[in-house]
Amino acid sequence: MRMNESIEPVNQYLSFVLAGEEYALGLVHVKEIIECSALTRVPGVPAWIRGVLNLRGSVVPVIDLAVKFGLPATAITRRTCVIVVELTVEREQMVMGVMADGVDQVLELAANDIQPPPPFGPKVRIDCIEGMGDSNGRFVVLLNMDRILSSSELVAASDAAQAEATNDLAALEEITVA
Amino acid sequence: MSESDRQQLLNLFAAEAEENLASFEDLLLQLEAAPQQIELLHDIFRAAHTLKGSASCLQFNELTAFAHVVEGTLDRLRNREVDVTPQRISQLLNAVDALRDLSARSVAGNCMLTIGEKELLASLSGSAVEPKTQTPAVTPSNANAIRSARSLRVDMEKLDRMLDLTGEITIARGRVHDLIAAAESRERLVDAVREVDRLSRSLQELVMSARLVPVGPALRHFHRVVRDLAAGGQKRVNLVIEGNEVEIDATALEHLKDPITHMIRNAVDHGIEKPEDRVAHGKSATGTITITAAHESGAVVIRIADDGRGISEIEIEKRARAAGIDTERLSRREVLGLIFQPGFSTAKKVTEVSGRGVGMDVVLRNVHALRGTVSIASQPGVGTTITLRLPLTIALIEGFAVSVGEETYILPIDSIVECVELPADSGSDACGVLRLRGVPIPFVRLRQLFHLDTPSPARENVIIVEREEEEQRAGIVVDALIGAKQTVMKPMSRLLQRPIGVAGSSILGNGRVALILDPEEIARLAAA
Repeated sequence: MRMNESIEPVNQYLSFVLAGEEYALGLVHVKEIIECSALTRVPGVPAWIRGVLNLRGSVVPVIDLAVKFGLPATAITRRTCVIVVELTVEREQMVMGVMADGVDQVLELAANDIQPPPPFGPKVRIDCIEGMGDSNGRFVVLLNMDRILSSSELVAASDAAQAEATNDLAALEEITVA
Repeated sequence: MSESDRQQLLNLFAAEAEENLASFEDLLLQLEAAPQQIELLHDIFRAAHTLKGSASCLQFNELTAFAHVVEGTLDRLRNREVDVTPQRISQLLNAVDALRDLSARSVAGNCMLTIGEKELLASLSGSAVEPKTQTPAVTPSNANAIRSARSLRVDMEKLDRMLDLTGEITIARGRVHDLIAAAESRERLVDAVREVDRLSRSLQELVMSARLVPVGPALRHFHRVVRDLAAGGQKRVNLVIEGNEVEIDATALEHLKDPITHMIRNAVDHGIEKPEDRVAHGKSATGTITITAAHESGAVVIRIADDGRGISEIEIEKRARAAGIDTERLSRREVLGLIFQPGFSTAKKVTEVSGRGVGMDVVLRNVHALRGTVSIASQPGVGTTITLRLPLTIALIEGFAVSVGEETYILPIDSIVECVELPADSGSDACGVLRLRGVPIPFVRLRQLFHLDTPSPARENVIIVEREEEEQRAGIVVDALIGAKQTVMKPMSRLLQRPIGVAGSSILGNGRVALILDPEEIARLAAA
């Protein structure tokens, strides 16, 4: 491993199954993997935010990439899990959960194991894909988590900013001017 | 010295430097008001000297040298070789800014002087000569350069009591374990658990109280802000601060700094008139801004009052029409609320610091995020008073839990007037009107509002809440009432922004997350 590194850097990815396809995300982002239990729904947020859960006292949002990719929402079964990731969005650390039908394995991929994304095929927007990884002859879609979130977050932010302006007016108790 | 030791020293230095420079700044302003008070100069000298000492300990040579030059200037002032003039004070205040900047940069490992700092240094050392051009710093440039790294000084006595309490909790928990192991009687077990509850609640209250800090030190910084703004706008303004000792949650205070800064800027820039205009209107040439902090009926109140020209509704409307807003279609409240909209300003001319339409929207956003309210009272020619009202503790609320299907929600108990069963003939629409003792009250069903797909039960309950604005009541329809409980409010992830009707979240006894609702917002939807 070490020796390898000097010749050819190897990146680690965690592969998981979602809606019958195999995806992977950079292991550096992954904090832990937990069982998907008792999600609390949050009203008025985009459908790809499935809810929030309690991670040892912090309230963490859980996102469903299937919805993000325009597929039916992931059904919660006994095997559904949540990959807790830490991302840097606009220079701020953000912890969130990513739903998966199952977690597969840790892949070690060198640069030449990764091929550029095909112009068609995967259900994911092309700019959210880092490339296609080769895992024992099968192709795995390598997701660019920072990209996925920055694009989606911007959408959420612009919606929310509008709502917020009216929202904030609730704090206004009274104005008396002659 | 290990890396972590050095880091600790640096943190300590940063905190001390900030305190030192804050008192340096404060004393300079006092000196400007009372130039004959030579004792003040001794105190200022001491502050500069302390900074020099700690800087040289850490081998911050540039900072030490800078502080040394400042000391020299102060010495000449002390020995009456030169006079205390507003120009000299400005120069020294600029030196305070430079020292602040340099301290922060030294901690970060970059201690090179900037060109501006070198010039300042040169003008300070040749202090007998008046600096040719004197530009007062209009913006308090890097007042926050050294961020107090989210740390807080806690009274040792409070910490000791916390330690005692944790010890007692451990003992009490041990007793519960023993009782369970010995299969003791139920009553004794219940008693032991109650004792644990009581102790943990005291500990929680103590931790909460440790978060409270007096507002004084944070507000003191506004003397400088007002001075610089007034100088920049050729105005004469006197700042009065009342209620320095009033305590407020440290986090809340942190979030209030920006809103207060904006309000002060507005007051100096748009409120207070030029001295000649004030005299022409029969007022004293010097305007007064008063910041008052007080505890009023379970809330912290921060009031910013000026005796300037006031806000005129006609002016707001004129400005709104100029911006293409159809004011005919808006209520009076909405028209006045426009001053809180981003990009809206009644300022006749845009100045360096305000009138660019940023500011009041920040006030509203930060205050709302702290579950507070803002009210404005203004009279043309007499002045404007803005009142911020905030809850005492921001993290702990008295909540009332309700359920809809499988979801549990929490409402702040102080917003609830009463709970009744929803009359059977109330239909099944999302919104409706019920009659309570003959009074019609609009209601909204939380199930429909939040698009929950669970079936409605046969009997529903309605929680009547008071709407602060317009003093109307509204009903929120839920399935079942669970009961009152003290709730720790958790912040929502930034990813979720702030969903409408949701104030925050909390964790229930069973480990699930429950959303804390904002009754005011939901009630507004009911009435809409």
